[in-house]
Amino acid sequence: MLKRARYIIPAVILVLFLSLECLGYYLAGRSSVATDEARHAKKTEGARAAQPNGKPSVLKKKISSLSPKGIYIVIDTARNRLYLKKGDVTLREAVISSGSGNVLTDPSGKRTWVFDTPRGEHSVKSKIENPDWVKPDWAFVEEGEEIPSNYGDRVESGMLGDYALAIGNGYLIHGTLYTRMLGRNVTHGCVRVGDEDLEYVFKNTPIGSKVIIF
Amino acid sequence: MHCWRTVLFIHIFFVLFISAEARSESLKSPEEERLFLQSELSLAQKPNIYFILHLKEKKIYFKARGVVLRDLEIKKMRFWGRHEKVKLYALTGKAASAEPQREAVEIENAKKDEKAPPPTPPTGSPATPGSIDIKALELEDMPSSFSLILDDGLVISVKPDSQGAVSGLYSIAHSLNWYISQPLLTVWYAIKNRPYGALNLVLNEKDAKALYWSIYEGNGVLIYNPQNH
Repeated sequence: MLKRARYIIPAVILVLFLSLECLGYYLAGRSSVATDEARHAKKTEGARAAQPNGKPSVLKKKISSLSPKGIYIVIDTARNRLYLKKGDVTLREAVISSGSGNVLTDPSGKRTWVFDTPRGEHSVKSKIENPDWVKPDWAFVEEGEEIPSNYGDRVESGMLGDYALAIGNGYLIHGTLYTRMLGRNVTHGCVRVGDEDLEYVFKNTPIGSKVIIF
Repeated sequence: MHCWRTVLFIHIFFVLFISAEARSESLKSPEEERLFLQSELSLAQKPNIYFILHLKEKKIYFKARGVVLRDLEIKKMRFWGRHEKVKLYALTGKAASAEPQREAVEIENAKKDEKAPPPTPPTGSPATPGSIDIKALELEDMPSSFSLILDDGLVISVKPDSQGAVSGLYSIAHSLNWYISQPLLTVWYAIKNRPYGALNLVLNEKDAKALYWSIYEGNGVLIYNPQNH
């Protein structure tokens, strides 16, 4: 009797475990088509409502009509590469520096900056030759300096290279003195490009061109 | 003893014959393609990056406005549970055992009496950028093994492929883990009355890191599997 008892508990545990496994396999294989379809239909209903029900060829045309017309820029922040493109053709590939991902909190704790290059779709808002750097507040906080009240005290020339393309919210594609850091994530969110590549991009990218960052 | 053996065999019988292999609903090809394109159109109309897992081509596409930004090759994949041939999800979260942490910038002490001159850029031939140690989040800091949690209960686990005897053992261990843990998770979610499905993808290590880097909460993920796997 005692000998049998030694086997009972592990056997019970094993049976329970195997039962759960069997139940799991059964539930996974069980048909829930109706439920899945209903859920999927509900989810895509909103998307479909605005979409014409069309042939695949029509839908493909609609998708390709959304792609950027003319010149556009694609920035790969993982590999630190900028591609100047027209359609499917890459006109220029450049090594860049993008955002470091670091976080700065001011000593009062009231403000925090995250130095990421913003992902998604942007556009070239303006183009500037010989840009001056207007130091934002974080640049003073980072250096432990007081934030100046005089605008003129924020301006530094020669830091951004020969050209800059503004893509909105204070972010720029600009030049750099730190060319040895190209290829690394070292910036405060802007995109730094080497001189020759920057000149090519600047001269060939009209205002309004799309900039896609991922 | 004889009784327990019988019970064990019955359980093994059930495990072998109840198919856990994922089955897709049957949809006709043109209908699948139309559904896929409609779903992609809904994503492409927004100014966001979206991802297409084209399981027949074994590729992951990073796209925006219908333009392919990058594509990654899927080395191997495995399903669990029922799945639809075309389905649009939103990413609700990422999970990894070693999630990368952002560095906090150290604030320099200001010099009161004299202003420090601006930093001079290094001169001479540049060192290889990769050899310079910097405090930043970079691709190399990303995990190559992680889970993507999609809405509607789908979990995509991503693993790097690796070679060698040790990785072979790891692969076996991972497979065992998959076939043991998935049924238990299915039961768990069934108790919670929540849907559950799983997809396991094996990518090249760098590609896995690139996927983790690029995808974030709210991104649209369109899974297209026009053929049963």
